[in-house]
Order: sequence, then structure tokens, then C-alpha cells
Amino acid sequence: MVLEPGVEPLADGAAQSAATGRPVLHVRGLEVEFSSREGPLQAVRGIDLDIGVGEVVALVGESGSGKTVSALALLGLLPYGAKVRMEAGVLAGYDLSRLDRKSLQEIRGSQVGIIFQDPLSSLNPVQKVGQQIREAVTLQRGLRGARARQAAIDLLGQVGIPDPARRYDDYPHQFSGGMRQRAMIAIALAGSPPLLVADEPTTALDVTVQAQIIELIRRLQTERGMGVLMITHDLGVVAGIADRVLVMYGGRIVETGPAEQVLSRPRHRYTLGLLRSLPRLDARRGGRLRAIEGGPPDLDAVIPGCAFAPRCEWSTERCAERPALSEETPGHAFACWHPFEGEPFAAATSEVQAARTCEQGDELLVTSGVEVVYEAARRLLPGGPPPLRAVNGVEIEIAGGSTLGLVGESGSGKTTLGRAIVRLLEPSAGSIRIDAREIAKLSEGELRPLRTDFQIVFQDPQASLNPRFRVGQILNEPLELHNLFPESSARRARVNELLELVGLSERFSSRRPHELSGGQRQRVGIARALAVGPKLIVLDEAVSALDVSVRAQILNLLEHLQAELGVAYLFIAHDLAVVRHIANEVAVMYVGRIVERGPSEEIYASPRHPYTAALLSAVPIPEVNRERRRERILLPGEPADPRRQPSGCAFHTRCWLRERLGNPERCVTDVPALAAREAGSTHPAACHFSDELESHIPPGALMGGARRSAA
Amino acid sequence: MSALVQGVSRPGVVGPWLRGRWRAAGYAGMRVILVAITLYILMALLGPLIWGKSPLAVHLSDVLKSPSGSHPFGTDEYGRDVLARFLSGARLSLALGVGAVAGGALIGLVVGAFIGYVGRSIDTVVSRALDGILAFPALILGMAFGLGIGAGGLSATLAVGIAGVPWYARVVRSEVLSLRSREFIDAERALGAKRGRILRRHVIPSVLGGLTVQASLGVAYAVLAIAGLGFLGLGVRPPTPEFGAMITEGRDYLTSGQWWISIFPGIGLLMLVGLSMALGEALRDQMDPYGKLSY
Repeated sequence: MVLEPGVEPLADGAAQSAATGRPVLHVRGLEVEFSSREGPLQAVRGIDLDIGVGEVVALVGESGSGKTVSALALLGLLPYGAKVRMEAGVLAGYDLSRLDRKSLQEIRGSQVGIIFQDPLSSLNPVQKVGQQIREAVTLQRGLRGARARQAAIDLLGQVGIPDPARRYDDYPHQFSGGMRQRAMIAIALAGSPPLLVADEPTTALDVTVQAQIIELIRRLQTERGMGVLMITHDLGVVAGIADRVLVMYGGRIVETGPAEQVLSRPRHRYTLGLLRSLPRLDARRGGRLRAIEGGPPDLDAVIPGCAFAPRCEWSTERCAERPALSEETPGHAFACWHPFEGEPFAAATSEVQAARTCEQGDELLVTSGVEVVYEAARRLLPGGPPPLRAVNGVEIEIAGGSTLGLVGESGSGKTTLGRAIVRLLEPSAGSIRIDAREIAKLSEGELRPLRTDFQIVFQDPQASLNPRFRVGQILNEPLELHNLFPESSARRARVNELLELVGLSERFSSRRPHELSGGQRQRVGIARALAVGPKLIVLDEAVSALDVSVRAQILNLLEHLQAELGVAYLFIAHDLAVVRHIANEVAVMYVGRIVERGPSEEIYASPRHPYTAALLSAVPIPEVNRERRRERILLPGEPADPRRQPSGCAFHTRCWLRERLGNPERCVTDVPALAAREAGSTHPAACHFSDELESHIPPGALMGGARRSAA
Repeated sequence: MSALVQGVSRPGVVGPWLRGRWRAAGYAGMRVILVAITLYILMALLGPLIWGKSPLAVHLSDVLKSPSGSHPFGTDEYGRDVLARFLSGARLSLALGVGAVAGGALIGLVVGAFIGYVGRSIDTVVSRALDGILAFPALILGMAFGLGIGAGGLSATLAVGIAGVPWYARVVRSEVLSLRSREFIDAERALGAKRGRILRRHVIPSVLGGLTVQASLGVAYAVLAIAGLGFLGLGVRPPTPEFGAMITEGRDYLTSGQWWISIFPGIGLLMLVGLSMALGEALRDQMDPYGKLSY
């Protein structure tokens, strides 16, 4: 296929990326509008974008800010109803504003590669991975037969798939999540495009795998001198990879500049708010997060002034007029009438209160030897997969009114454990005592009256509320079930009280879930759990699906509720920075077992299990200099399959410490017990060599404690 | 101070006039269908009373008369008034069709909700049994019932109703399966709600929408199947007027010019089937549990 070259890139477009030469992508005044029954929805309200050769530009913003839509619009990937307008748009010499869908299709792949968030749905499940890459190779480079196959295998090798010739014939389901994303990258790179667009490429991945993929993108970008447009909501990822950042809010760019400057000296109040709502591994623990109140503007809102003003503490009359995006120092522009000056965390640190002193009671939850085993479905013929040991002998304790954080990669069994504790699942063995009462073996009927003691809040606030019920009915349900207030007027009063408790007003009780925002829905979910007055709430990734600013609001709410009501939390999460912020104690889970547990401060400052150290080292920090200088413990591969647990220590297949110690045989033969260094210590770990760990951790890899390397 | 001005009239791509018309047309479509169905039901219920002529009275002097003032739809080979037979036939077809669907849908709802929620081996066994019923089309089942309990309106309705059960059960089962893994059901379980209450309050109301759509489409198939059995002589027995049997009776006269005996019941059948399908599709468009469009 031959492409007719469009106009040449405009000469002055390269101003911003002067250092790197002509821009690969040059866009001016991009607007995107959707039509809906309620009227037009303005997703993007005019943005400028330049990406130079070999430059990594991050487009940052919360959901609904228009970042993904902008990228899709440029690539012609929006549905037909969308209206895209731009004053200028040049991609590698082709005029985007003049190309029709057909020509845009030819540009995709040859001039720009694309990877999406969900690698599972982006790959065809019934075609071999290798063939899908080969198809791209054939299309882009015109190779056929054995040469196309060889090129596809080479690509698989370049994106870090071990043994690529053999994996060529695998189907997507035989690949893990991280490997699928690697395969997607291979497809995107088949045509050696000068630009790669990555739309939240690591959001669906575990933190350890995220670190691998970011490393891969960075390596490929340097090797090939590609421009990269990285769309993300994670400022830590930005710090690790981006040269320049564009912060989007309400369909416009509110701040842009070198990543280092924007993250360390943000000027726009929204950028500042985002940075401050982020729990960080490298900041001192304790104190409330400085959340941005409220939520982002609706897409159908007419915004004459600054879109952020309604949520901004510093807004004045002047903000009713829209501030222009103007440069102060070369390359760093922002659109704010009252820009922030100074160190973003100076104010925050001075406000840090003494670490929360919870009134911790006696042990509320005590489990021992909990196992959850899924038997494979019985088949006609013998054989089939072995039983899946999702939880394999877990012992945890939570004191009344305190928080235990449970962390681990996906597949570690943490959610299964949480569900077994509230008896949504039946544990296969072991004991679960809540308030000194054994509940593991009670029948559903015996359990029913006890269920007021323990409740659960789920990850997806949308799925956890019945769409047909009004909020009032949803909150009335637990009261009715347990006959807590026999009179309906008393129940109504209690519903209003619950709404107030979670920061919603009475008028919410007549709304339906779809009329609420994600944060409001999660507040309702929390209110429902609180309705029966529980002593323990299992929070199963309860803030993972929320935007950064809303997540900070919910975390603050949870802390407030704990102080008010003395409720204990089992806080299950994969985000270690969030867990550190909220938990008093932390337990780390790997393939169904607790490998380390102890007081939060100790775990983060001096982990005793190599797995914990690797997890901590993989968490990105939103500060450019330290993030890039940090030495990382990169964990190879992904968690072991719980159906086929490795012998001895389950972690030995990925253990970096074992490698450094010269692969001792003991790790393969003996299962390490969860043991403390000395009797009475509250920080046990299940590693044969936990005492030798500390001397092997690269300096600065963990970033635990209070900014030790800074200042 | 408010920087966001909402609700201001917005210049749209589609003008408000056109948009308003379009929306009105959508509602109007539903209204037209509902009015037409009401008229049809009124005709079936009240028509025979108003017209007053007996559908069974034989007048050998008025055999095979073409449509006229006293017999708007003409008369058949026994001199019976075709309009009177048409009106009674509409009543019977509607009653049997709706009856068969109501019975089938109700059983399907209970069976589907139960096996979907309980799962495990009960689900496997019952699902296979339902697949077994699916293997017999309504007509074959009707023949079997005709042989077993004697051909007639009852056996035809039973056969069509039972043949429908697996369809409804499958729709309900699959919806229950997807509901069961939804977290709001788990939340309810964590609160200690009993299985029956969860089914009654959360599962079945969520399933009813889909089932209603399926059922109103199902009326069309049921009416057709019952008429088909009548046509084959396995349904309602002559001389009782029923669309299928009436078409059979008039079949031989189509070629000799007495078209009205078959064509009028045919039109009646067509209207009933068309209306029930239109209702089903309109309902499906209206059922949007989230009440908002996703783009």
C-alpha cells in the first residue's frame, strides 16, 4: 500500500520540542463532541499537542477528563457519532485533518502503533498469538511465509517473551496478563512506527508487572527513537518515563511542562491537588490526605470560566473568566489565575498530625489454618486439573478498631480470604473467630444473626448496588433483614443518619445508583455495610476503581468512620502506598500463604521477605529524579499458578534473593515457616534467609520511611 | 459563584425540533402499538357480542355467499357467517396463545431462576432435560399430545406451552447466572438474606424485563403454532371457530374463487402475530435498566 504524503509538518510547530527536532505529532485546537439524547457532550474542548522524535509525552487526568478520547480522535478510532474538529493535525508528515477513515486506517500501524489497557480483549482469543503478530508484520512490511514468521518471532523476543519460537504457537489464554501486553506491544511495533500511543497500558496489571512493562516501553523507545504518547492517571508512571506532561481537566489542558518541573513545582491548583491526594511511599505516614472535594464537571456542562473553579479552594470572582494557557518559564505553561508557588509537600508535611492513635481493643478477628480449596468440576473421564488451593493455611489477627492491610499480586488469594472471612465462601479447613466466636463451620442459618458483626465492601461500586433500587431502599434492606428498627419511620431516620455519616445528604435517598458518581456509589456501599453496626468490615479493593482525587476522599472517610465508630478494617488492596496510608498492620500474601506480617512502619521500612521488598521496589514514586535514579528489584515473571504450587518456598521460582545467595537447595525442599526473628517479635516472615535480606536490598530501592534520601 | 452554567440551551448538531420529533415518534410508536393491541383485544372480547350472529348456526340456503351487507366477510360451505366465526376465532386464538405463553413463561421463570441460582448438578441435569424438550418442535409435541390425550384445544395449548418452557427457562437461567456473580447479590448474602428473599426481591424483578420481551414475542409463535396444529387437524376441533382450522376449511375453495373463507382468518392471524412481535420489540427498546445511553 502506498500512502500519498499530506502536507509537510509546519515549521513553527517544533517550537516546544526544539530540543528533539521536528515533532512526530503536531496538533492544534482539537475538539471532540458526541451527540446524546440530552444534547451534545463535549469530551475535548480544544487542546494542543506536540510530540517530538524520541520524546515521551504523558497525558494525565482523571476519568472523564478527555485524555483517551483525544488520542482516539487523532487516530480516527472514535465511533461514527463523534464529531472531531482540529485547526491543525500533522502526524509524521500526514495531515490528519484532511484524511478520511480509510487513509487513517493505513496510517495506523505504519506511522503510529497503539496499545490499550486491556490486553485480553485486544487480542483475538481463537488465533495464535504468533499469527496475530505475523499478520501485522505481513500487513506492514509485506513479508510472507517463513520470513514473516521469523520476523514475528524476532518481535516476540524483542518484547521480552522468553523462548519466542515456542510461544509463537500459544493462544492468548496461555499467556499471562503481562505477556499479553508484551504481545500487544509487538503488534504495535510491527510497522516500526515513529509514534507509539499507549492508553493506560499498565493499569490492569500488577505493580510488579507494571514495572516490567514500563521498563520495556522505555527500552524500546530509546532503541528505536520512537515518540510515545502515554495516557495514564498514575503520576508515578509519569515520573518514571515521561519527558513532558500534559495535565487535562474538563476537556482542556490546564498545565504542561517538563515532567520533572510539573511534578516537583506544580503551578495549576488541580495538578497540586492531584499530587497531594496521592498516598506516597516516600512521605511520612499519618494524617489525612488533602483530597480535592467534589467531582469533575459533566461533559454536557457549559464552562465559561476555569473548569476547576467549583472544586478549588482558591477560586475567586476572576475564575469565572477562563484563564489562558500561558508560559511562565520556557516550556512550562498553565491556565490558572491563582497559581501555586512553592514546594507541594512543604505545606502538607507541616500539617502532618501525630500518627493516628486508634483505640485498639482486644483481638477481634483471629484466624488459623484457613484453607479454601476449589475442586475442579467433576468430569466424565478421570484426570483434569488438580484442585486449586486459593488460600493455604492463613493466620491473621485484627484488633478491634484497627486496620490490617492485606497486599499481594492478583492471584495471591487475598480476595478469596476476605470472602471466606465474611463467609461468602465456605473455608475448606481452619478456624475463623470473630469476637471469640468460631464462625468457620456454622451453618448459614446459625450464621445469620451473627452477620451484623462483619460486613464487606466491594471493589466495583456500580455492580455492588442493585440498579433497580433507590439508595434509600438499598440502605433500608439491612435494617429490615435484621429487624433492627421495627417501625418504618425509625428506619427512615436511620437511613438518613447513615447517609449523613458517609457524607451524603438526605436527598440522595430517592436517587438510583446510576444517577450517582463512582465515589458517591462507594459511599452508599460503605453506608450499607455500616447499617447493621458491624465490628469488622472487609474492604475488598474498595478504593481501587476510584479516581485519585475521589480515592483520597474515601480514604479520609474510612479513617473518620474508624475514629468515630471504632470499626476494624481488613483492607485488601494491591496498591502498597494506599495500604501504608491506612493500615496499622500489614500482611503480605503470595500464592495462598502469608509470607510476612507486622506493623505497617516496620514492613515498609525494613521488610523481612524478598517478595515484600520486590513489591515495594516496584511501586512508582511521583518524583522524577528519585524515581529514575532508584535501583529497582525487578521481579521476573508472574505469580506461580496456585494449581501447581512450586515445592518448598512457593516464591523460589522468582526469588531474587535466592539467586544472589547462589540458589540454595533449601528453598526448593523446605517450606519456610512464618517465624519471627526472636520470640515476642510482631514481625514474622516466611523466608529461610530473612536475616540476610537487609544487606542485599539495593539502597534507595524501597523508599520506605520518611524521605530518607531527600534533604 | 458558579462557573458552570448548566441547562443553557445548547447549539446542537441535531436541532431541538428534529430531536423532539424523533423522541415523540419513539413514544408514538409504542402508543400506536398499545392502542392497536387494545383494539384487537376489545374486538376479540366484545366483537362476538356486538355482532350477535352465531358462529355455529348453519344456513344451507346461504352457502358460499361472497361478502355483502348482511355478511361482510361472506359465508362458508355450511352457510355460517365468516365474520362471526372470525370474531370468535380471534378470541379463541388470543386466549389459547396467551394462555400457552403465560403457562410456559411462568414455569420457565421458576425453573430457570431455580437452576440458575442453585447451580451445580441440579442445573446440569435440568438443563439437559430442557435441551431434550427443545429437540421436539411444538408441532411434533402437539401430535404426541394429540395422540395421548386426544386432539383438541387443550392438547394443542399444552403442547405449545410446554415447548416454550425451555426457551423461557434458558433466558431466565442465563440472566440469573450473570446476576448471581454480581456483587449486589453477594452484599445481600453477606447481610444474611435468605435464598428465597434474594430470588424474590433481587433476582426475579431483574429478570422480568427480559422475560416480558421474550413472552410477548412468544405469543406470536404460540398463536402460529396453535393455528398450525389446527390447520393439521390436531388442534381445536371443528366446528369451533379457530384461525388455523378456518384456513384449512377454506383452503379448497381458494382456487374456485371463494377466497374469503381462508383469507379473513389469515388476516386476523397475521394481525395478531404482527402486533405481538411489535410489542415485544418496542418493549425491548424501552427496557434499559440504567436509563441512560452509553456511547
